[in-house]
Amino acid sequence: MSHKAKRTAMTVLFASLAIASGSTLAQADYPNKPIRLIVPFPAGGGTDIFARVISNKLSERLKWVVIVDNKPGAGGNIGVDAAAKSPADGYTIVLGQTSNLAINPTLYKKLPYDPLKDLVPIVLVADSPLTLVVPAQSSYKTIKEFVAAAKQKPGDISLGSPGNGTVAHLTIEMFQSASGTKYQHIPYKGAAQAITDLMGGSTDSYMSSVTTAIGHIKGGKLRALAVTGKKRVDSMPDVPTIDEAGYQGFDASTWFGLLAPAGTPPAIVERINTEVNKILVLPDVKEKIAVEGGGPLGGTSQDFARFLATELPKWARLVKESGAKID
Amino acid sequence: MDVLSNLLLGFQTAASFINLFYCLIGVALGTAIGVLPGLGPVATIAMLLPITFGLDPVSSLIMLAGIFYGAQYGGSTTAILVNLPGEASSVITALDGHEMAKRGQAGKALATAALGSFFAGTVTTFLIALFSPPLAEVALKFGPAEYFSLMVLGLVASIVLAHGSLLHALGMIVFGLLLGIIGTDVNSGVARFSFDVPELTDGINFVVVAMGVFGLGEIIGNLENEAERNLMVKKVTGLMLSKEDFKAIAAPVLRGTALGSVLGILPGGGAMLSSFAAYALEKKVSKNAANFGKGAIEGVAAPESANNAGAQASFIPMLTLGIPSNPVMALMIGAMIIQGIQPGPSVMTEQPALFWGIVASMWIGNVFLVILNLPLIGLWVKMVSVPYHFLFPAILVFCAIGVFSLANTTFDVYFMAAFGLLGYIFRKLECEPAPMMLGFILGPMMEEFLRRALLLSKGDPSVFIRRPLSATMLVLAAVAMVTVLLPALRKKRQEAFAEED
Repeated sequence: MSHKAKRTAMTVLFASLAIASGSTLAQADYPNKPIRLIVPFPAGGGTDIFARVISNKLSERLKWVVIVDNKPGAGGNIGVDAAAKSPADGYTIVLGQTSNLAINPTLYKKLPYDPLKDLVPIVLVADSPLTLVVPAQSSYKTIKEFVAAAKQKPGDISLGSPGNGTVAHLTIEMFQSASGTKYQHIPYKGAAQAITDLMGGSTDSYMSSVTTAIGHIKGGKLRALAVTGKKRVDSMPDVPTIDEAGYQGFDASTWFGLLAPAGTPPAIVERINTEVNKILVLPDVKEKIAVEGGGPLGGTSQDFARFLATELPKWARLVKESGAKID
Repeated sequence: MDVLSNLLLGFQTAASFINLFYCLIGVALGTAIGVLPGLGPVATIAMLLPITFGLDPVSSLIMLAGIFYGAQYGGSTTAILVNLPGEASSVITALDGHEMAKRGQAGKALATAALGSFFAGTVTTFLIALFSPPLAEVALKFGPAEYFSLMVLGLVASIVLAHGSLLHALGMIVFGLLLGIIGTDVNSGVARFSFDVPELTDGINFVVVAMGVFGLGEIIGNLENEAERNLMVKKVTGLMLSKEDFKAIAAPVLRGTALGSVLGILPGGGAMLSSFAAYALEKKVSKNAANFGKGAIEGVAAPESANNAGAQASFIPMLTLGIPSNPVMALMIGAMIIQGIQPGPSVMTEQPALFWGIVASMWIGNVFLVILNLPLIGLWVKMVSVPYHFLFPAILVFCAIGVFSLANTTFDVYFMAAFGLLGYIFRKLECEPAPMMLGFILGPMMEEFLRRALLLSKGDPSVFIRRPLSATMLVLAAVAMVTVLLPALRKKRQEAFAEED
């Protein structure tokens, strides 16, 4: 009892000291209290699974206490905003992704945070490409046939996405402008109903995450025409990239990265970066990320900052291009 | 026979000591969170997901499934005892179940719910075992046009739910539809009526509205006349069902099970409709129709069996197609992916022990639930006789925790409080909230399916009558509309004449 009380007193003392002397003392024994890892999406989804893998490893290897806090809503904006407005003491970090870091700043007229000013990048965790799928009985066997058909009857072939302004929707826009085609975009609320309609023959094609589609592809219900990343994915080595199919430089992926509120001490940012990089090369982590259809990335925090700086304008342009078509 | 050997494999898997253990944990946990208002299976499974990392895939999925259907059992308990439906499906159970409880028949209502659910669960388990793949194919026949027509049928049927003024019911449905408009428009991505509040851009969560309007509204109303309420629940009679009761519920349970298993197969929200539809059907065909809404035992039996049948049938699209029909199924798919299993049609052939193990465990879980729940009824009933000034703060706290756990935000808790006030006003105005809830649930889905069907037909509205399934349902809706309105109109005229006399 008294031991516990003493520890509590020490913690209080320490916390007040840390506040008094800036953040220098806080870094010395970082972390000395639980770290909150905000996931701006519901539990069980792709982003959440990446977060759980990392938090598990941090506790396993370093005995850090990492609490995953799911704060879903508004395309991830609510969770990222909560992180942006948290104290920059290194005890709040967030796992953001393409939508809430690169797309939403242009898509939403009033975004409550600026991903470049209010957050500081820690490390890029992983990316996972999309895949263009058609029903197994579809007459389109290759991406070339799919493009040729759309050129014959523009706007006639329906192409579903899990929602307006999602990575998949904007990848469709990217694909249309690269191939000079026009499809009929059918937005859904998430993948479930979209896959049902696709398999039932209501729609012609769907831009899916690899995770969602792979079971159906392996089960023979869907056929993948292409993947949207720079490289083929390990789980479907036979499926070509859109780049290979003749649209050079085509690269669209959902990526996931850890960030902290702006002003978080650089030493803490570097500490987390080092540890996460160590985790990303572990075989079982690689395997878990591969199951999600993605590949681990890692790298320095500067790498992530540079990456963000190139991705923001890329998606902003797409949002603007599609914007004319929205409504 | 193939099915027999498969089922045998399933029971072998499910009846291993460790799997029985996790099944029991699942259903016990499910019952507990079902009973606690607001805490639903989605939040619980989400919280438990990390724990399942370390478990064997079969065990973890058996446990998660147990939580899901266990919560369906438990959810009816609070709906009946304190008029607190935590799930869309228990809104209907509360209608007659809570009326029964008010008349001192809480035990009977709970027993009816448990036995009806058990029967439905058993039938659906074997349905899944025997016909999963062909049934899943049926689900695929439902495109946007069919779903829209199904929702129209559901909405028309919802008018039957009202037992008071028809005008009030219509008004409440429209109010529900309007509430459902809040949120991001699927087709254009425009945020509607969100007033730049980020929390509103995904719409209002069902649980927030239900907890507020039903739970909090009820609490405020009860506090107004606490003395009266205490008198009411003191006279608890007959915990068990009599022979007459069994006779009365047999047919409704059968019809409810049939309806629930048919609707549950549809991944686009069919399971949600099942209890509404069963209640509406029962009110039309039952000899006891006049007592519906006043504590009719049939009004508990039919929707409870339908909702359990629907819940279990919703495993069919998940297991055979890899398509989640509700957020819980989506989490189960997440759990499978974490375990390295790709959900989809191949699960059945590549992982037969997993597939059949889950199916068999559902039946075992249903047995557990009955064993667990029947003796508990006496305890639950006693809980109602706890003085209200002790009971209501506890209910309030659980409601707040449950609602907070939806998205880990206090915003929803404040919103629930606002809906509580609204619920109280509805009580005072004698407007029943059940039709509103149905409008709230069906409205946004109807709009989504309508617009998608029209988008895919390139704007041609004849798609709704050209597709036979869709046309059939629209005709049924028209027939239902006439049968609902005719007696009501006739009654109105009679009343008018009576007043003149």
